[in-house]
Amino acid sequence: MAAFAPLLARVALAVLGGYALASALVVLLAALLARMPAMPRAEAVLAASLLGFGIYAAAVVWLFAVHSLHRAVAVVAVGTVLATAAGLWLGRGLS
Amino acid sequence: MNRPPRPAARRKESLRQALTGLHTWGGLLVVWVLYAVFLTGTLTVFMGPITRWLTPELAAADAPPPSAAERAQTVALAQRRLQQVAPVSHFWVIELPAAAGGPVRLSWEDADEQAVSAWMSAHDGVLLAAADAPRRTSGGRHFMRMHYELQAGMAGLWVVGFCTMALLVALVSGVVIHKRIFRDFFTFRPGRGQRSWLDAHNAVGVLTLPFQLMIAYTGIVVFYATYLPAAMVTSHGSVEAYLSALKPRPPHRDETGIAAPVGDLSAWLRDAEQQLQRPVELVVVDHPGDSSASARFAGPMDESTAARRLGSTTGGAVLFDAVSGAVLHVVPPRAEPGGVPLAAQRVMDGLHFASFGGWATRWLYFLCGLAGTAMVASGGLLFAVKRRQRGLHEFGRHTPRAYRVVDVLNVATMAGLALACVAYLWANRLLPVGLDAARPAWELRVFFAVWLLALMHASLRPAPHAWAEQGGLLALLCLALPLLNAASTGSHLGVYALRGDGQRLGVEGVVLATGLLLVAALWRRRVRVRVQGL
Repeated sequence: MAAFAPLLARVALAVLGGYALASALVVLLAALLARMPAMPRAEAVLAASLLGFGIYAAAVVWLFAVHSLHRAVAVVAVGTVLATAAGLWLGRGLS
Repeated sequence: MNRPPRPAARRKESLRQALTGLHTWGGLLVVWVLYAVFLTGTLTVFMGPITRWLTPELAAADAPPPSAAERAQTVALAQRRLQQVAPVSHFWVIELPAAAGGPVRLSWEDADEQAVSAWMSAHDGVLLAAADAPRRTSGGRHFMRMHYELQAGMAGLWVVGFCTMALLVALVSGVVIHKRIFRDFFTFRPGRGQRSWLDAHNAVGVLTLPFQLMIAYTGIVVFYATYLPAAMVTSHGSVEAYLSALKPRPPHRDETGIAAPVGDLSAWLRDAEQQLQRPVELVVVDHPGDSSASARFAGPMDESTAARRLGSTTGGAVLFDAVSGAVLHVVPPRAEPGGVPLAAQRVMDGLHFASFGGWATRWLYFLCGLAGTAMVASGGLLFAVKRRQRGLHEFGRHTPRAYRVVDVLNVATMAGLALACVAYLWANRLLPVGLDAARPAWELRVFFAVWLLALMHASLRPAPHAWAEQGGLLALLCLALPLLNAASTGSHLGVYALRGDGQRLGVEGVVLATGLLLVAALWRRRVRVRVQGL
């Protein structure tokens, strides 16, 4: 079973970490788009969400392709936190 | 000269290896669910015609539609009937018939808060007994619900969503691991076992790659609000709040408990048809008998507009206060509110549902859907055939058992699900009409029972025998279906052709053609087995 541990870790990172990262980037992208002129907030969320599944797929492929698991974990964790924080900060006060 | 590979080339090779593993194992994990999603999705392209074939009592699609006066009379009769069976209810639904004089479908919620439906005669407003009404069936809708939720509700929706994401990843990684994507396009070496399956998998995947990418992506996007709600929650507080901000609708009217009769629906029908400039096909009354009642009159999708342009077009609807008759809300036909994001979503929905271009588009989608089904199936078979010739010992001492599981699941999903689909058509003709309201559930029971039997059979027989036996039975069921139809309803291909009933003709013709192709395939296989002793 120990032989499978790195593989399982990578699968979990790709499926769950990739989802978290994609969600965070959609939050950020939605906030950025909502700051564009004549873009209602709900439509900005829609536009970001439509792109979100491409972001997720790209994240999964990248997380399987990247050599170092530690680096992948770091990128996912930092990226998710930063994107969420930036998205929430940019999105505050928008209607 | 034999130089060591340069670092860049080596890195490229290791990327290829990593993604080959992802493609092979990720693909194997989802191949059976994806096969079910692809096959039933391909059938869903013709959901309307399949439902028509499954309801032989209804008139052909091109029978003359009811006139405005007939529609008004039908709605008046339906209202009188509903007021009698459910004077106070959560909802009433009146589905106007497509053909003049055809039966009218009524649905309502009874005193026990159960949704019930019945057919009403358009002539005298009498509810039809089971023997006189169109048979109850789950219809082509069954294939659609298999397609997006495996008939398993929310859990199924998430399983299908996960597997579709895996399909996207498999398509992307599949492109990367190809050394010669263009040459594979033209390569097919039949009759050579593993090599042929790889060629078939590559050729069909590469040839229809744009369609497969499009259909996978737009399929996920249909349920984007369920699958990716984070941004909706952070921006609007909840998915519901986001959705009502995206498409403003009149607020829900809570029940007041004050009794109030529903006004004259047939008068509002005329008003609504005047506003929409088209016949109404659906009337929904919320909270009839309560002072909060409202009535929505909806028009059909505009076929001629939809045929020429992409993006789902609404048929429009008018909402009335069902007590006072005041107009609460109007959605004009072909309304396309919102900016670019909403337009993009409409286009993606239209692309997924093939709601443009008419029958030619449907047939193209059907063929591309079959190609997708073949792509997934050949992938699963390739895994098994490759390892049958040369075991790779991936599972240590459990390897033979793991390969056996793959073989069994391949037969049970690929042949077994096809069997279950045809058995579903058989069940529709064989189950007694007297089962009435329980009938749709019985059709599903037959479908899943046959699928389960196929799984048991596959797990008891050696794989080559299981393939041949289930394939043979499938061919038999397909070829005999026209006989069953003729015996039980008196209709067959000839009758449909003479009546100009292209939809039912198409369904039965495709089933018959499938049976003939299967016989040809099984015959070829038999010859090969005899010659090569395979």
